[in-house]
Amino acid sequence: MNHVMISVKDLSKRYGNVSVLSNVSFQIQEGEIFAILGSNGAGKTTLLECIEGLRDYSSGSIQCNSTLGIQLQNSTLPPDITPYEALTLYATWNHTKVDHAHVKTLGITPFLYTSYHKLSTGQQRRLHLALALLTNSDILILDEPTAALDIEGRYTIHQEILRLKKAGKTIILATHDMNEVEQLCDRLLVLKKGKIAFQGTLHQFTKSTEREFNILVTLSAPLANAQLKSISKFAHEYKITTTNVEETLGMLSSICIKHQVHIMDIHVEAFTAESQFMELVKEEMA
Amino acid sequence: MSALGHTILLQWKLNYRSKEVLIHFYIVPLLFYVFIGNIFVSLNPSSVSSIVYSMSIFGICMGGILGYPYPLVEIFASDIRKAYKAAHIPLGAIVWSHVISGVIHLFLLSMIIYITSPIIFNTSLDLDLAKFMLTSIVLIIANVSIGSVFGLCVKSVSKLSLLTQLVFLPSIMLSGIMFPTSMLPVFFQRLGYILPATWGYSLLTTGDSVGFVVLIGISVVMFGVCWWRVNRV
Repeated sequence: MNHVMISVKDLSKRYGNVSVLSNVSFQIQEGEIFAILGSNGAGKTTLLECIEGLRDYSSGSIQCNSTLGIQLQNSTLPPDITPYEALTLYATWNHTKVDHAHVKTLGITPFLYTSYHKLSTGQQRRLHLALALLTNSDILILDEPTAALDIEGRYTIHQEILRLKKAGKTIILATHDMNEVEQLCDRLLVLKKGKIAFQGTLHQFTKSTEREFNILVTLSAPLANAQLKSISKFAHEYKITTTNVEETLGMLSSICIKHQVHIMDIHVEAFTAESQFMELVKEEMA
Repeated sequence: MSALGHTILLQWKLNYRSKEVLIHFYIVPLLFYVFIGNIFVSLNPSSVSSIVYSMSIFGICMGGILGYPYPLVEIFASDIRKAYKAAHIPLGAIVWSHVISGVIHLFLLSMIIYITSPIIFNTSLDLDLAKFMLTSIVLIIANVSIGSVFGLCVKSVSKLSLLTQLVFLPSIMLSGIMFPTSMLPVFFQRLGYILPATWGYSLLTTGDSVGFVVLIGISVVMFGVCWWRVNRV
């Protein structure tokens, strides 16, 4: 069994009567990539900042068995500092040296001597990841590391994260992107209004809700039925959400025969992990 | 080089890249020194004997109170502070690097004024250099300590611009550097005693050593507030 690197027990954070986190408990094992997901305002950044020691919490406990390398969601630096100066400053205070190979891998070399305020958001993100790695910590906390990056940038960061995992690092990844979770993570935690909505592996997550399907059907004429949700009145397109495709198709055929309407086109799509996540947090977003 | 030394050197370089700092530390004080100094001397030729003191104190107040806090507000009122904390960079070291860099810049300014006054105003350099340097340093530290409190406590640059004027303008008007304090109502003369500029001018013109004690006292109290604020962040 892997060593526990971070243990969070019954963590709560309140601002007056407003509860931002409520009895959150989980453990993170050595060497895993652990994702924390949730919509905006779910409490991801608050949770991470409590773990990082940047924010006090109201009750509960947090135990970290290593130092942390941190990339904040809204990391920023003095506007006139260059990446080279920032890397050197961080390295000096962490008693380490700038790894130029790392700098090259993350694509920072072309703008190494450019003032921070002149960098694009993506360039700033790469720099902040490089700064987080400078602490040489066994645990890395990355808060939306690929936000605002192009496809190439995201790929580079993902490869770097996988390389770090291979090197034995434990990584906590806060993200909105379910595709990122599917590509990188061992386990995930979904926060909803400050509480845990799900905790486990991706496989467990996709199995946790009864698998649903959307049946998209185009008819020859309009049809009024409680189970048919109209998508387009003009094109007579409808959607039915179901867990039993065979039974629903049979029902649909019977209704069409009864009302003398023809099925012009039919398409069945399964819920992806992303759509399951959206279903899980949809009340929060509303 | 130690980490603190490295940070001080970096801050020194960053100060030179900051428009606000350059304007308040060098450009405006030196322009004021040249233009207003000439006007003063034209209107009152006897003021040439104290022009170096007046202009130095003006520059030190402007730099220490108006210009110096900007980089601190940029750091402590933004997520830069969190980024430094997350990277295990002590916030106290960041403040000290600003203080030391600011003191060096303002000392340079006062020495530029001291050295160029014979050329611009045809004064003689018979001022006691050691006394001038020591008084400048103590006055700079007092002003920078006040600027540090503003930099750590004020949460926006727009509020900073307004609040620092509450100290800067009285420093100029009530300290005696523009006109003798005897011309002021008694209330304003007494109000001037809480300002570092008043004691700095008194030290330079009369040599009254009580001024050293007051300036050091102001610095200790203000840096104490800074220490409390940094630990609370």
